[in-house]
Amino acid sequence: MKADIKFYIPVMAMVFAIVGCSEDEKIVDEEKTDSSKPEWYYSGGELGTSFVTASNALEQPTPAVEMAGLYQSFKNGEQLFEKPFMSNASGTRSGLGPAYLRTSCLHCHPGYSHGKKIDAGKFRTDEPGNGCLLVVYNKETEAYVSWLAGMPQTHAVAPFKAPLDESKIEVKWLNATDEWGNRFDDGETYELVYPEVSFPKDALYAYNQGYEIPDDYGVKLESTIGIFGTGLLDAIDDSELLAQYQKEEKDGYLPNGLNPAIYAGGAWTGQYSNSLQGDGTKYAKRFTYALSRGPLQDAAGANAIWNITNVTRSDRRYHYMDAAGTWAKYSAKDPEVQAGFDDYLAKIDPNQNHPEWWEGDMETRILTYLNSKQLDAEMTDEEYTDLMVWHRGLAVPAVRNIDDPDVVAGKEKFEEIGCAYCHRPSWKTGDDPVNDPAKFFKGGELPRYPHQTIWPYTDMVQHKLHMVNDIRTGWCRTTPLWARGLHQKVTGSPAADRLHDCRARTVMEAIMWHGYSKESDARRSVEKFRTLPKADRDAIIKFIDAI
Amino acid sequence: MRFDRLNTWLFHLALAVILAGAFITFFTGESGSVTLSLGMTVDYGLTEKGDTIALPFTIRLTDCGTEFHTGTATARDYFAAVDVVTGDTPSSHRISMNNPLETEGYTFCMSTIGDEMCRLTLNHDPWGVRVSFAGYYLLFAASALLLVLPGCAFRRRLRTLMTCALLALSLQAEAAPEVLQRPLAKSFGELYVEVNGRVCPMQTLAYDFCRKVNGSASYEGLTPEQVLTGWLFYYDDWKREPMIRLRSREAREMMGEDCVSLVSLFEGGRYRLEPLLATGHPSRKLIEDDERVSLITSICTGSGLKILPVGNQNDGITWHSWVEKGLTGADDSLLRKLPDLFENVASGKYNDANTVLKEMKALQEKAAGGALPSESRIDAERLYNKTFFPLSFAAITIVVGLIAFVGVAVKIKWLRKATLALTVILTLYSFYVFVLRWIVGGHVPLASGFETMLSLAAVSLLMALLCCRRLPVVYAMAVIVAGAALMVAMMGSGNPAVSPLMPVLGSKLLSLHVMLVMTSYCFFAIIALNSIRNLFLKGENERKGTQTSMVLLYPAVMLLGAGIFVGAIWAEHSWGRYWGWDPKETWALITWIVYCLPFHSRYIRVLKRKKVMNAYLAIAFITVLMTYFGVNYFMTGMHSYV
Repeated sequence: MKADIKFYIPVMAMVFAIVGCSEDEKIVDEEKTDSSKPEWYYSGGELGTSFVTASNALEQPTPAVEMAGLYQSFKNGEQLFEKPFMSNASGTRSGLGPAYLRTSCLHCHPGYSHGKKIDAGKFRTDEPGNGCLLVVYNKETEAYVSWLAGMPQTHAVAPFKAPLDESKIEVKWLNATDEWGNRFDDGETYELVYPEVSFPKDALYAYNQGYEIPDDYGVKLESTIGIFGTGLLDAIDDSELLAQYQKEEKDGYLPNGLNPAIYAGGAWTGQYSNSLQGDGTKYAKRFTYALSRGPLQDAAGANAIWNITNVTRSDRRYHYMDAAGTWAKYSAKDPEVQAGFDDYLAKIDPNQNHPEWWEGDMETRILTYLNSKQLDAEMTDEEYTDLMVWHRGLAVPAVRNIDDPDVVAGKEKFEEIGCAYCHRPSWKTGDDPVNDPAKFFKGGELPRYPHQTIWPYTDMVQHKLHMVNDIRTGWCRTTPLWARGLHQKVTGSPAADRLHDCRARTVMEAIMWHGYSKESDARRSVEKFRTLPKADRDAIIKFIDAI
Repeated sequence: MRFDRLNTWLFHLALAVILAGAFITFFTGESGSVTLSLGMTVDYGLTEKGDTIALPFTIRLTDCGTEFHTGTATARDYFAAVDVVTGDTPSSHRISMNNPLETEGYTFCMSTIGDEMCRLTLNHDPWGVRVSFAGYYLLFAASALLLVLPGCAFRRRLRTLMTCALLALSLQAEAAPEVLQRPLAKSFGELYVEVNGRVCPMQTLAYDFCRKVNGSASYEGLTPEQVLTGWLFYYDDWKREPMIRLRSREAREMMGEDCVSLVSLFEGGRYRLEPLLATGHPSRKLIEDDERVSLITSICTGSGLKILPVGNQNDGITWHSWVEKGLTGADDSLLRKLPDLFENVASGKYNDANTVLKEMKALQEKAAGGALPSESRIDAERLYNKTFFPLSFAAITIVVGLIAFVGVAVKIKWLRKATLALTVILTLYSFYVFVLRWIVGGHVPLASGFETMLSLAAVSLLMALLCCRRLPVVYAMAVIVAGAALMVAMMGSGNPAVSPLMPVLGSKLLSLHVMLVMTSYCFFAIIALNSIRNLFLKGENERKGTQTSMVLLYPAVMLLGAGIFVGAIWAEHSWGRYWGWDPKETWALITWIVYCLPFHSRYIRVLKRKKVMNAYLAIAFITVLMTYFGVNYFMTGMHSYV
């Protein structure tokens, strides 16, 4: 027994030593020595940069929002963006329809980012993340067709029927091979795919009701792009934009020149103005691929909240429908719509405040209602203001991985081979008076970003890439590259979903599409890219993902 | 000798009574269910065939619902409140998972809970249960007598017999991915987070994360908290890190490597496991590989970090991640700390980041308050995370067992002493882990496959120590069994995450039931190993060895019998019937019968030959394996969670 005790004492001691030995570290925090970051780290400048890199990286308010005391308003606007609208006539986020595209904004802007690449097969708008709009255009004139809304609606509130039956839309993905066989000299390969979209005439409600449509229509996809940082781009002065055009014209580097519909001979040829709500003041065009929009306060977001959902507001008391009026015309004649119209109207106008919708024959009543310019406002001015505070208040995430030598090397190479000519790294914002062509906003109610150095990597000018099945008209505004590297993280998409129809699944594919055609404005840069060793090519890609 | 006879007689009488009870249940018992809606009075039940069972009383549902584990949305118990009216006397009762209502010979047990309705199973078997249970008690008594009374076979046989490290040193990689400093990562690990329906320190999630993704708690010499925060704060670095250890053959073949990076899994903008998953029936391992990828995504996007307590302490608190849209009632102050945290980390202000983390923790405590686990439980959990190394534990135990075996075989004294010392340490360690896991989980850790295996190892090690003097062979084998059990625990789930108890397991009988059965399995394993060894022995050694097996067989069979008995009581309580022909029950019975046969070697001549007996005992172990593993893998039943 004695021997046993002798034996067990050291054993027990060992056990307690092991168990009791949970080291208690002191928190010795050291200050990083190279904490000063280069200027390009702060993508959105001092007033517009955020630092969260998790899934909500693109959803952060700018410091300017906080400074202006607009945080609550921002949060209210966020709700309007994120939550679905209902077809109820009253209540929260009511007023969806009669015809609409999607029920919520988040549908098309997953994680506030670019839309996701859609699969081959059907075009499903109920799929969250499908940020694609259908572009239905005349193949000869390249103009939008008049018999469908520019943003074609595939849903409707009963008794109305959707102008376009999306179940009949067909999406195909085809392979493309560039002149280099999708291959670098050192053996690295890549794949290129592009979408082809079509629908038969009988997918159209108006056609099925007797409206004749011509055969020469084509269909393309256009994805949403990120909405963050648009407030910062809006803060760039019109004169700065003009100077960029003048510089590019003078340089004459780009084979396709400048879009004559926007600029020619040192001056604007097309500017944005709004004489319906506003006074027709002219502003430089700066938003959308097609450069169809000027100042942010009357641009894509301000428009989409009305026309995607068809939710009216005080300065837009009418419905968004096709320009030719076919949908309204045939809906009014449709016996099934007529049969259900009274029930529908009883909900929309329960107190019969609009006697003109209740009097006369059914067809006239329906037409009067659909074409009315005196609809009740479904969104309050306060809600709309909140939405625009949120919209203008979205920050841009700071550059990730800036301490990685590859990223720094990639930046140098990016500039060296000429990418930075169109993907212009930085801009300086002006006084940012907050222009609103629709004259709804005076300026003081929204966050402002005067005199900031921002890093969007776009020249805000349209160029041509001549890709297979290219964007309508071929002219496409250089897309800002900031924070695009976060896309997969915030949306969960397996692909990087780059370019206007998400055809590029990786940054590499996006770059190589830029050089697909000999006529492309980016051709020379891509040729140089091809001559770089793999390490440099990878560094450029890493840089693009980091900014 | 007289006692021996009496005992044998008692034994068989007990079995006959149990059988009789079963017959009575079969012929006179009624079983079915009663469906109750809130406020509705019912005086009948329905059998499975749809026949009516008339009740001599009425029953009315007054309330029903689900109770939750504090601070989570994980169900703890389901309950139904009923009023029973017999004649003119009304009485109120509350039925819950392990708390049936017994009245007038009818037993009502909880079955399904719906919206304002519930279904109760109904059993009316006043005589069958009593007779069967009487038989069980008799069996129990006979078993006890057998082990205690002098002159019984067990004592006789026992008498005749009596007269005869390892932690791998991790090397720092050349280009290590960027991480938070160790103390800052540790601070992050102190935040509260809900994982598997349980609120725990973030550290636990970090350990689980590393083990699941990489198979090891440490990666490149970094702490699990550093790895977790690395993915969150330095995603662009970590996505290129080949730390995802693939387990499925298909995925490994396709990727050409076992350890891959997140980027490589998404090469070309396509998820490379997708086509494998889409083909017919993906293997379990492939699905787990896919889960590894989802887990990473959930961490680096934050969707898996449920750090936001929402609600108040009266109505219950649910935990959410910052990804979830439109949380009503969420305290914004915690969410608004997030940008500060990221900004401070990004701009190298680590001291400030640390302060933000402390503030976040304080806000969590303020919001969740009493719904948080106690300080001591959190401490226990941290200790558990830090000091429990399942793989090393298993490997060391097996190695010690093997060395002990060699020591016994070649009779080297110092080797025996050294292994004995190590066994003492391993035993203490196993109980230390057991107790910590108990404190952390808040229930006796016998509820999952991992936990039962852990307890089996502990029991086995204890048994080894008890046998080390007189039965050195058994000692060595018990250590090997313990090691094997730990290995099985690692293989089975590979993920020893602590999770809350599901409602039906919330019974005190659970621990007893599992413990009894597990200990018997442990005995059976030792018997099987010993018998295999006996097959290679001759003469006196063979006789002694066989005798050892036979001695061990008595407690083994008794314990299994007792385990089944306790299980029956529990089942009677929870499901309203003591025997359900559930696969696990059936296989346990088969095991028990198979192991009973050797006791009848007097009548079964062939078993008198020692070689045959040893072969039989070795092969019989297959029934144990079938009962423990086979049933879970090949069949479904009430025991499928074990």
